[in-house]
Amino acid sequence: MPPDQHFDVIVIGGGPAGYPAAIHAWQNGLSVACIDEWKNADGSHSFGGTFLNAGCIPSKALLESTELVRRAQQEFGRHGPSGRMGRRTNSARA
Amino acid sequence: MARPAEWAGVRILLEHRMTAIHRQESHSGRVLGIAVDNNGKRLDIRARRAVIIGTGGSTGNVNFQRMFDPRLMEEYCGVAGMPWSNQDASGELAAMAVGASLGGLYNQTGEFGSVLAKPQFIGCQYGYMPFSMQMLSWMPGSPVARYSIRPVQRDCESQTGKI
Repeated sequence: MPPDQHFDVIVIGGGPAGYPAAIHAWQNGLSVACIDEWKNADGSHSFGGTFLNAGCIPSKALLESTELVRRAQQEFGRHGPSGRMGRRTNSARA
Repeated sequence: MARPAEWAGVRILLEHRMTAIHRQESHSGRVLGIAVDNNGKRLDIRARRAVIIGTGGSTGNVNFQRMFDPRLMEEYCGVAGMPWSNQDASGELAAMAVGASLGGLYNQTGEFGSVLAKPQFIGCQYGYMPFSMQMLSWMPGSPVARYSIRPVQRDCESQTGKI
């Protein structure tokens, strides 16, 4: 049976392993396809797999955001700015 | 994230789930490509040079994990992000189905070093408890202990002690 598509390299998974592998393959002159099956909670599809969309990267981004808010609230005063810091957060990111 | 890759020339195929790897013979010869499912439609994609599996880890799959040590039941599932970022060994299993052998699996050797991490409390399986985990040496005869980490294992055992 003839293939429906053909490439030099097929990368299965678009996460932190597959994504750079695909780009490096292309940088070496190869035609590349990268496939991913990830489906978001709302049914839409996106690139990057579990690690990027639901695992370590979102959780680390949220931790970094909360750390920055904490430092702004508690440490800005040492450098001159004064006044009460709000507690509004970036709900889209959260 | 997909856009820079597409600008670079990588073809991104979303909603494509690999269902099988094609090889010349069932367990030998060149890898020819993959079969994928795209919304219920089967497609065959040919790879002229290589198929690279980047599907993530395997420690969410208890049966897979127990190949390396039969004691690795559910309570040893210590990978971060579980169960929302399940690591189901799907890529490894697809490769094994066409005759691939495994070696140097990061989740078996790198994440916890040369010992296995067992959460102290049943249900605490998400891996963010490094100071409350029991360490378990690899079982003698485990492929991991035999081939991958023996020198490291000796060092680590001397530091952590065996349980």
